[in-house]
Amino acid sequence: MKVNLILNGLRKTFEVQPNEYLLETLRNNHVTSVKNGCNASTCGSCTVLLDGKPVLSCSLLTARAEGHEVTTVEGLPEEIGFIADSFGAECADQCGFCNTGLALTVYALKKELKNPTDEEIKQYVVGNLCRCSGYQSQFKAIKRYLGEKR
Amino acid sequence: MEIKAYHKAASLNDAFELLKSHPDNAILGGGIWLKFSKKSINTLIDFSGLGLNQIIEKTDLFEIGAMVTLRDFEKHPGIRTLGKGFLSEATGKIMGIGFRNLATVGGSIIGGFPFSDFLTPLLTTDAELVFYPKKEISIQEYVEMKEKPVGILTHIRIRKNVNIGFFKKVCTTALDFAVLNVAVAITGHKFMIAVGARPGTAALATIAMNYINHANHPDGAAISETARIVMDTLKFGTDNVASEEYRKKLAQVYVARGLKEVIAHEG
Repeated sequence: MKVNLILNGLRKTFEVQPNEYLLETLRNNHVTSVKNGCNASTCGSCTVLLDGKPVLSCSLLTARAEGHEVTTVEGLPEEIGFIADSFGAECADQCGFCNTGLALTVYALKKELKNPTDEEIKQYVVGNLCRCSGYQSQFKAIKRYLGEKR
Repeated sequence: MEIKAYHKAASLNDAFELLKSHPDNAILGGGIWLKFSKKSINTLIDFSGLGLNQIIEKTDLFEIGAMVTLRDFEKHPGIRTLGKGFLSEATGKIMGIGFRNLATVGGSIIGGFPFSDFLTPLLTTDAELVFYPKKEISIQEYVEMKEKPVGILTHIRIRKNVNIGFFKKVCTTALDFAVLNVAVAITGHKFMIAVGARPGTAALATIAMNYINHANHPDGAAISETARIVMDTLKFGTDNVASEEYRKKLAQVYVARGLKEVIAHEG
């Protein structure tokens, strides 16, 4: 079946199976910034924005995304660059596998919550697991990014 | 999981006629757990385009479309006030944001998942499920039904008579399934107690509720006795997460704590 998406601002048509999930469709079409971590709705590495909201692409049937806007890190180069700079400044990077999913969640957090508390920040990103950093440096990096005025 | 065809429904009638036409046709909710199903689906019916993603506040109830996501439910200003916010807070503890932006209220009910942190607190409200074609069933009745109704869940109506509620999910980390979950509420001036992940699907502790609702004074002794009745009358079990004995003890402790909290904060 054919599915039409607006991927990073461009209209795209994909030929997919009815049981195909968006993660598979994106990666099969060379959008490999979207990572396959657990493939079980848990780790958050596969996060993309669907109409601006963070969703797990491993858990969204591609057919359900018909006509919707899908955004990956490639679609937000400037803002993702600011997030990357904050992560670099706080040494919040190690293997980098979870970074793209986390960056999109952090971007959505900034859009959705004004002046979030520490607890609200933690709750917002709880679904993005990192097996390297221990979260403290990432938490500092997120606060740095949210606190920067541009 | 095999899906032979995918159909975007043009109307509820279209969806229902297609659902009836083949025993292996199915309705798509959030679709999150579908991938773990061993079922072969003939036609998967998507009714997400039918405007059932709205929460409408009426004088005495909230009418929630079956396709409302858990995140939209949790964030809704009216739902945040219901039962002093316990339904919203309980929903906000389910997995991460990326999960809750996909999972739907309807899918969480129809799925009947034993680990559900949505169903347990909902059972302590006077919620009513609205199906197409016309059928309305209370959430309590629905959970107990062995043969579920053939139809499409379109709305959930939650009455505003939930004064206060308490919810506890017992788990090791935020993204774990509950070892046990407990909800206690005062709804329509009555105590309601539900326990889920026992590891069976959430159930009301009706004998214990009857006891505390007929107690002269819901004091410390009555609360302890109610918690003991929950432990003794609900069915608990052992799986690879926890033993039956451990779950019973957890239920006893958190039901007592829940009752104390709702009594103290009812206001």
